Amino acid sequence: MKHEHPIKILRYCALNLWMLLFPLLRSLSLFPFSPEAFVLWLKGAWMDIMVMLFIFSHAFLKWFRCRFCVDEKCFTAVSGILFQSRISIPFEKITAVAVSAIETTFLLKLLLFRIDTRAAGSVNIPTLWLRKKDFEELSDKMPLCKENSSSAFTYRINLWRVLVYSFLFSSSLSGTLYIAAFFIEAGNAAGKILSELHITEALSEMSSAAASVFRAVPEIIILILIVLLFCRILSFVINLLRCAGFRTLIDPSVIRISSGFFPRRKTSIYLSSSECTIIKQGLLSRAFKRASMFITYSSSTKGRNKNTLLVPVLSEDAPINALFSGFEKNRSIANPYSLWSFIWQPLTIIGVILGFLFIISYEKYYACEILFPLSGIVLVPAAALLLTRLITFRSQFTAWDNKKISICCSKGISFFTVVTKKESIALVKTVQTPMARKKGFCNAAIYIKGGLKVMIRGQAK
Amino acid sequence: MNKKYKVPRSTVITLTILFLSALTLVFTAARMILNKSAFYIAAIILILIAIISVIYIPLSLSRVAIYINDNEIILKSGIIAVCERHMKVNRIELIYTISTPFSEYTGLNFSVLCVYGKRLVLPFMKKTDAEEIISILSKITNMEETSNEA
Repeated sequence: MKHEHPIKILRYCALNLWMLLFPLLRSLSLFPFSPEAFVLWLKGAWMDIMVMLFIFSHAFLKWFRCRFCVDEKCFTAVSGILFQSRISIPFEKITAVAVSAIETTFLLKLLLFRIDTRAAGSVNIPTLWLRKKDFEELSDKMPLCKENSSSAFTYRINLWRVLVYSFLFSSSLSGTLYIAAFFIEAGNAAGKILSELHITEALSEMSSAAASVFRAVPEIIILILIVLLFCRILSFVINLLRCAGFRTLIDPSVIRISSGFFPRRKTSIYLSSSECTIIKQGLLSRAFKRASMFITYSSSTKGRNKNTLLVPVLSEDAPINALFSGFEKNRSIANPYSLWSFIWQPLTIIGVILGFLFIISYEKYYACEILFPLSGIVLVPAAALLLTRLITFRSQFTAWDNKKISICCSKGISFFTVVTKKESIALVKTVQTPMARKKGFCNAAIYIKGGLKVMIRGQAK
Repeated sequence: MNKKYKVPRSTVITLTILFLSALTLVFTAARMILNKSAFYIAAIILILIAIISVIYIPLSLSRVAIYINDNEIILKSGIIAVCERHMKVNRIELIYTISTPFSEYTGLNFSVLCVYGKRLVLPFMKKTDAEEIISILSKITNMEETSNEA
């Protein structure tokens, strides 16, 4: 049995360790270096030191008790301090392996290693932090980690495409999610870090400086716009880092995807475990006739987003698109009477906000001056949603042959084309209003194995 | 084979009684806590909820129907907008039932059908119906497995 990289001890340490350690070191540095001063410091800080030692020894014990091993047929991971859980995964049950390499210096050669199986959501397989030599030993034994020289399909990305992808697929929403994830991870320390970096002061200074240029616009609106812009830039930079050096190799049985600058990620997926192929387009990328391709595979990950990027930038006339055609046999489009079922949500949002603004402006004119730009934050996405739904009404289709089904639809302000095997459909939920019943159409939610949900509106019953 | 299952009458009575008792509790608590004018407003709202629920619960439960045939299982529900859930029988990987105390009399039995990544809950059935559904579904899936093996 082998242990993970010792740096994992720091990961196991609670965040509060650092909140105790730095003030202690700072107070130590204030004293002149003498044994008496050190004893004096020790008398004052013994409680904090004990807590720190407890946190560190707990982390050490956790690291020491977590082990893994590989034999000819099976991968085994053991975790837990008192109650140990032992997970054994036979190699033929593995669906994918993901490795993130962090190599900064010769001292730190760390690889984050994750195995996926078909046990969706039922078993939590931990991500292992491995030394490079341990990983090399492990990859020699695991068939999925062994690189094959012959590949049927190869895709490499150039710098221009990296920039195009990062620009087209970055959004303020994903940037906000990254920031939210940071706040959840960092917990109480996040506020402290922000105040240490003087970010709140910088933001208020920036917004007041911009307010002096755009005098008619209230300061709060400028602040929100700056935050949204910052989120979009963050999303752009993260996409850039993720997508740099992207390479996809498809062997006869395995898909190998390498991506990212730091950390460098490598994912190997068995072709047989792929569940569906997805082509995704935003409003911008649809205008430029560009798309990106994802696949989903059987995974034990509990997270909602299990899509793995296969081809970052794809033009609509690319040869790989042949995969999505050939369903001319049976094809169904949205019912012409079903326009309302596409547009009622964005129209309701826009109507409610405009109605609210109208009432406010009638009662108190001065309040409307502030509320109108604020409502733009909701009105602009609602208008984008309305546009997306109108395009979907014209372009949505469901096509199928004996084995496969292809669904073109939209979710939020993105367009999706999903291709999957007919057997992969787990559940179909249809909703029919009295009007829809009269005209012979319904809204359907199709749940694909693994939890992916595809919503099609106005489809013939 | 085509089978149809409906929600038993005992479930309608049980749920209505449970809901009305919960409302009575809220009503009593409101009388003790709120002042006179606030209590009158709360009382009107609670009485309206009670009237609506007495109509809504039996009506919505009367529209719930489960159909089973050799290929798929269909759950229909909804008063104005009709919702249908279709699940292929051969995709089912696990079936379990949830029974509450005195479920023979109350009809508060639920069957849960799990496929990879999604589950379908068949609500409010007689205990005998729930057992019958499980035996039918397991028979169909077993037959398909043996035919596949052959």
